[in-house]
Amino acid sequence: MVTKTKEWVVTTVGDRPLEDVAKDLKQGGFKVGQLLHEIGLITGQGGDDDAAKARKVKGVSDVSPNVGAGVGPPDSSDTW
Amino acid sequence: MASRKTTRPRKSAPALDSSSHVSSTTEEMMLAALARGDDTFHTGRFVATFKDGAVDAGSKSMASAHGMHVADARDYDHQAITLDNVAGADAVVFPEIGVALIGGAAAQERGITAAAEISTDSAMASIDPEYFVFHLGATDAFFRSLGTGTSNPGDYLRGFLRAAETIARDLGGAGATIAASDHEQQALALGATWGLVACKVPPSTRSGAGIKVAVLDTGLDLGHPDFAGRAITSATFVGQPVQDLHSHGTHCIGTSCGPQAPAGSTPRYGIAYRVAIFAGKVMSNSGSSVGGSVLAGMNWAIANGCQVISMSLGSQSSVQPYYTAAGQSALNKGLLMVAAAGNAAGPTGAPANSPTILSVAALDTNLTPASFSDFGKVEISGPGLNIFSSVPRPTLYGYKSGTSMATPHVAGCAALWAETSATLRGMALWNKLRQTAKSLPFPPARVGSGLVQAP
Repeated sequence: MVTKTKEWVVTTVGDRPLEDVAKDLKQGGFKVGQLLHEIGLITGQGGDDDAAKARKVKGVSDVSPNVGAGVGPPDSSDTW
Repeated sequence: MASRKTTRPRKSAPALDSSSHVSSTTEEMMLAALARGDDTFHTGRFVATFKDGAVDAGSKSMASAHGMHVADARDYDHQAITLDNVAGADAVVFPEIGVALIGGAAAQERGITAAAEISTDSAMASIDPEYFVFHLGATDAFFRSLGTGTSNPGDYLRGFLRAAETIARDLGGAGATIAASDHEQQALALGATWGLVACKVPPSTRSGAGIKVAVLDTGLDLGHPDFAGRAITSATFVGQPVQDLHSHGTHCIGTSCGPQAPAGSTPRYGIAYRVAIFAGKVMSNSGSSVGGSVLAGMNWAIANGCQVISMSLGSQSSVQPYYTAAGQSALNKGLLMVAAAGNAAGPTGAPANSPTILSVAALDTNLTPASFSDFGKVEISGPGLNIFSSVPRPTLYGYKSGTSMATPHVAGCAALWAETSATLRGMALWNKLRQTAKSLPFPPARVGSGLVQAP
């Protein structure tokens, strides 16, 4: 069964360089996006199975779907 | 269908306007209302509410007993009736909601008023004046479009107060008068928005000098005259130029970082008028995040050492570990993330629901929690209803409501506090904001520690 690709955010514990964590994520099939060094996060894409593998990578504390955000429609007087 | 009233309420009857018809446009009726100068917000038309199951009887009665030409929405495809295609009708019946709209001229000819007695065997339960309904923020633009000369925000505020008092009077009963809030009255006197007055910004001697404030939003109108000469650093994370084609970002930056003295008669609407502005476009011009744009913006703001990071954005979702981690990273570096709780009248959304991010609820002009404001995880409150601030050219200024507007009040005040002491950073700044907030008689889950105050 083909799993749907989602956007994920990987939270790290900070005990390894993000580059090293990213390398391990890639080996597990995770498509790495941005490495956000200031906040210790890595964004990326993958299926649920890829996320499950990512959660087992050393230095990873959490892998969650990116929920996104909004501020409401343009020129609206009502907002987020 | 439900009849809203079983007895006709006693109320003062606004003056009839024989010029209004069911097909009159809003502009025509508004001009007539302005000409009358009666301040009632009455359109001149009336709304008749039928008793349960009495729509057909009432419609026939209007035609036979009153000699009206009655249009019925059921005679139109999918009941898609519009008032501009019923010219000649005296009344329009909307059977799905059990009401009829009666033109002012037809009502006057037949002696129909809101004060008239309704016989017990009538198909009508009540007859009420129809009132104008304004979308928040639309009033000023409307009067401006009419060229009535009331585009000055001070005039708007005075008009707003008159309208509120008039509506209160029309509701009737002892104690129904809604006094203009102290903050609105003071705002008129001080030439500042009610939000700034409520936060005690005008008397503050602080400007935010030496402080960096990041506003992660839809960008900024980089050519807005009120920001000419300001130190502005910008970046985009959504693949579109920073230039704000949405308006939300320019409005939020206006409140948190706008000028001390805008040109002309424009009231002061900006708080930290000497901060270095970091405009991070993390929301597209349609108002949505793109991929990891919010996180990338957070990362950028921290990398630039912004002591205050304001985020009037979010989603109604549970606590996200990555937002919590980002907030903790900021605190660890002596920076403070401030986020809007949300406007769903439900549990605080993300990222504000993370324990490491300061969550802001919205207050109305009476300093009560705004009806829409999310609740639960709330640290502090700010003014969030009918907030005047900058919007992109050519409009320049506008009103918006939401916890999105409350948040830059907190961010701006945070920058003022940060200026007072180099020790007020990160968690210390968080605590200072809460300790100095004005206590309010509402649960912490609604207002947190209270209304943010400037130093």
